[in-house]
Amino acid sequence: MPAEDALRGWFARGLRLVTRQEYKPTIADDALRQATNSTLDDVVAPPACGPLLRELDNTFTQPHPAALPNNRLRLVVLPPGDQTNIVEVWASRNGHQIVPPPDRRTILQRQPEIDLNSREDQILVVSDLDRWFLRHHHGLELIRRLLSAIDRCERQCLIACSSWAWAFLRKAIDADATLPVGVTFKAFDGQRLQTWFSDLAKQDDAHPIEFKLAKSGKTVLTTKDEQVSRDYFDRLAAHSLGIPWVAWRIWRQSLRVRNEHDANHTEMKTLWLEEFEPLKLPLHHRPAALLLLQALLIHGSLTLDQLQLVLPMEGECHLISVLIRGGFVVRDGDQLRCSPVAYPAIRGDLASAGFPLDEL
Amino acid sequence: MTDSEAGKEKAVRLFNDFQDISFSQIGMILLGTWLAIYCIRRAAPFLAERGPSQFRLFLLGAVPITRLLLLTTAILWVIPIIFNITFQNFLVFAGAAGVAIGFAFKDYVSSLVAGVVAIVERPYRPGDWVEVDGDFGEVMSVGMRAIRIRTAADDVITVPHQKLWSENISNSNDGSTTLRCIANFYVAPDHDAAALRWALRDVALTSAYLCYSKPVLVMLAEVPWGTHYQLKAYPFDMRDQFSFISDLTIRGKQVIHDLGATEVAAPVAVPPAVSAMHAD
Repeated sequence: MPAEDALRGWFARGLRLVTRQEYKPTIADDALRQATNSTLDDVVAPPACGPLLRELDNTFTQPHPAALPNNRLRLVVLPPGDQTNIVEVWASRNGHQIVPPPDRRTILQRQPEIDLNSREDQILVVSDLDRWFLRHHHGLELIRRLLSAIDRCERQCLIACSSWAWAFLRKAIDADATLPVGVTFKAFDGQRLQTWFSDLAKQDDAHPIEFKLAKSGKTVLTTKDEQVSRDYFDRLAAHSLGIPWVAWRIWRQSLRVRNEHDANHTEMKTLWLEEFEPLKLPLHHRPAALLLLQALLIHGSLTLDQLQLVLPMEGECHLISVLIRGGFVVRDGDQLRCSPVAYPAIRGDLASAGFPLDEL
Repeated sequence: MTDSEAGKEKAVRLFNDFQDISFSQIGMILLGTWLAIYCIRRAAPFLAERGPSQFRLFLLGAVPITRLLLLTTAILWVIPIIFNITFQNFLVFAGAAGVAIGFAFKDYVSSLVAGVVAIVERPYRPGDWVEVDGDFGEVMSVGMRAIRIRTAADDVITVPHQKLWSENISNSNDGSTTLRCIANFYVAPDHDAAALRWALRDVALTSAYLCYSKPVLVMLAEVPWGTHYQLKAYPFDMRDQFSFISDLTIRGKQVIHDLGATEVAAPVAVPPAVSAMHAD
């Protein structure tokens, strides 16, 4: 689908060049502005992973068969970019015991023994295995001890890990020898995205809402019971690689409202959608930028100091500003992480450059 | 008919009649072949460097094979236009060619033949890292007569295909996208070898350049001045091999220091002229 979109875009531009047609969108770009957070929260409310909480309930809240030791450990492998920490949210809702990750600044120091056996009968949840290591020769000791403690303890354990961290840990510490084969969420297709976003939009009961493409004026979603084409959502699902929080963020980022009050305003509220354009890494610094982005994907998020520890050369950290400006990296306090919206482009560039990838 | 007239008639029939030879057609064939080869020699490396890395070696390797096919096609197309193809004419031509090759073009033809054999047997391909006669570098192009290698010092070395007959050619990756890199460490004997071996393995496993699908090995052996460690691993892109070895070396040295071990260096003999200066 992204390849098809690219070909379609080139063909359209070529056709306009040859026929000298002017580009006339249905509504001009300068007549639109970014929707406010208030509007976005009304029509595309967080969290970015609502349907997945129900899936976690359906999968893990069923009573486990007794005395089946091979079901004691369960692994959930998630695509990167989950800023909600969905497994922790689910564990909190269900009253399970969460093992908090340590402060990453202390990982390179000696850590106390990890004791997971207590008297409680709750499921033990390690919601963020990514935060238990650093890709550094001194940064693996803690996670080795954690997995050893998990292997020895007698409780039901649920471990969640991002797909990139899992690919690294399988190589670095043979994590798949201790933990079972992981489960993951079914990829979100166009149908599922359309249903989800429709449900989110219906939460705003004040007015019926319709979502239209700014370029063509075509309606892609409406809260009225009308059938609309699913093409846009099929493309969005392909572009976002089936990852719900990526699609959710792209959807929110694409929404626009009119600058001026519409004189022909009816009861129907209209939101306009800009087409999502794939981001492009600057060619000049591409190899170093890819190393930096891969490090962020493996660890989820890192501070600048931690990034210097895990990269081959300190000088590569100067690219952070370039990547933030380009929309590939976001800064959240002192934490740097890959932008979910940029993840499809980042993964594509890493694959093209031959980097080892995750398996999702 | 006299003997001389019969001989003349025979000589003429080696070639087609002059007015029947279409020089414009020959020119078009040669020009088209040259243009096609030129375009492929430019386009394939350009696409190889900018496209997905999984296709890089495939694109580079396609250049000599395509050139050989195009040249063969052109020659087979042009020969019937110029020559009157009969068995007797073939024997005449083969005899003349044999004399010319034997006396003047022996080495050149040997290299040409070796070039064709190299395309079939593939001891090296564009993109491979090979060592020939002590020169180690990346094969930039495989020509008709020779290959061009770019070394780590950015020198370009031209090696005739003829070397194939008599020299060993060491190919480090043999068409693969990765090759084995070795970082060497020399440590004073008094240290915990098991701990250091494990730590060096972690150094490789935590390198940003590591290929996940290949093994990591740490070998050690005693040498007269200490313990020689070899950290062997594969980068995911062989073009990063020197950065990879540098990364392993820097972090390996750090690990040796952290474990309280000491690196050693073999003593170096001082040349007599220098030692005399210092004696004064």
